[in-house]
Amino acid sequence: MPMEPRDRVAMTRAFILLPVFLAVASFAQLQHQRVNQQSAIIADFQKRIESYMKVHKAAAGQLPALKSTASSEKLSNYQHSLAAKIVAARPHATQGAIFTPAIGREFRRLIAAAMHGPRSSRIRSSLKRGAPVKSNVQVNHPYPSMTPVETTPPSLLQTLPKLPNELEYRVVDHDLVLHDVKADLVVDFLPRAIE
Amino acid sequence: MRLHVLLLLFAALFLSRCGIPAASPSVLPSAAGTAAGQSTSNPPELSFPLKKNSVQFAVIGDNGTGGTDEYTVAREMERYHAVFPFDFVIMLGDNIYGGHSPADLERKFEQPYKPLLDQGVKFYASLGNHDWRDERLYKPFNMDGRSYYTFTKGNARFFALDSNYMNPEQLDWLQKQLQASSAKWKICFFHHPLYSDAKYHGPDLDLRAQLLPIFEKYGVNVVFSGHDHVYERIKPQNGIYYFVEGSAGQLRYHNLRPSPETAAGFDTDRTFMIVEIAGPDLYIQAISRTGKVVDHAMLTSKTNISAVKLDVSHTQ
Repeated sequence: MPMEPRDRVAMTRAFILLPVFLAVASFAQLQHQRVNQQSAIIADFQKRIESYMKVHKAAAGQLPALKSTASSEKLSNYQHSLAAKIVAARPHATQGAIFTPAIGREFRRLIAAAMHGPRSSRIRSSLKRGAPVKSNVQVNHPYPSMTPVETTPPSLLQTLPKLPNELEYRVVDHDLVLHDVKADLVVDFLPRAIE
Repeated sequence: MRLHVLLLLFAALFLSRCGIPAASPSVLPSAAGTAAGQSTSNPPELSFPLKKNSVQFAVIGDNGTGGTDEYTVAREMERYHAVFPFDFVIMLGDNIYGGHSPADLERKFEQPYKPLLDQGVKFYASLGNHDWRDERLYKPFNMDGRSYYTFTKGNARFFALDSNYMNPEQLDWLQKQLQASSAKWKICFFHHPLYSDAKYHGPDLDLRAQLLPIFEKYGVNVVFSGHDHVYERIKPQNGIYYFVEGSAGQLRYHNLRPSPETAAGFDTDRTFMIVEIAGPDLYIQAISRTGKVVDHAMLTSKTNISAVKLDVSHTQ
């Protein structure tokens, strides 16, 4: 039985629309997978931060609580003791312990998106005007002494995963440093994170 | 010819009697006639009302070098304290440059300001890019372990911010604190300036984009910052007055490039500021290392329903 012209038109439309629909569906699925992957990577980062914080808190628990004092010696001593205990608990920590290759890639993607987005010029200006620093950082070592801190641009901080109060993101040259503020310790760093 | 000279002399005498001020350049010349490192022996110049129960404080930024100039500025502060007994000093960051050993803290803070500390003057610090993060726990800085905090003096609420690390948590805290405050004067202080016409650093535009909407929405009146080693008063921006005071120890000589936003500036010697808040009026004086008043102004807050606006009468 010959096909009605109206049905033929409908069939042709279906043949044209089907690949488009399939392409959209597979793109959406890919996007969904990518978002899931990104979420999993960030979740992995948070897990690694949590396990670092367990070490930090265990170390701090062995020391008397630090209160405001007029003695900078007491402040230094506390900081050195805390750092020593944390280093003793993770003596083999090296670059990449927290910023694994996958986490590093995700952070670079987040930073690049911010650096090339609508806020890029003001982020770059903030980095430039905050007094850029050049220094070599090492995991399990203090933040380089006598080196000023460079402003971490607020727009960048809005794009990166939240950290507990004890930790901060620091920009040193082109690297992103994870700094334990209370122990003055470099927990990890991501080389060439900021291009 | 003789008639012309007489006429000129008469005109000059007439103008001086009428109190018409000479045109003042936007960047003032340095205080001449005093040797480096020396204070003038003249009594401090003060054009404040010194009202009972007014809020009286001083402002210093980028001071902690431990060098001769920091000590000279501190001595000048002490001289002014004798006639204007300010209760506290706000510090705009770079409180301690370089090392932070007990000897460093003594040389860069405790010694220069000892006469003021001994008289009970309190110091409230904010952190600069050269500061040790643990200054938060250094008791004489009154930060109580926090890098951002707030305190009240009379009808003024002060907000010390950490501009090195303006994360979403701090922005959220600031909004809540400003919203909850009904103070007549809301004063923010932190290290990196939102407006500055100094050539070396200049304004932090990302910080400005984050803070400005909050300041404007919640009626901040005055903002003090350092980082650029000059003194500058910016014309009010959407009703908010901005100051750069980053030369209480450091100095970047001739670094100011005045713009249409510059109200007054000084970049040929170190400075500090003194401030009196008397009800709806806020008086400022910027004073050089040699004791010369290099800028003075009176700001008036006018509270309306939505926000606090600011009128400025230049007394320069």
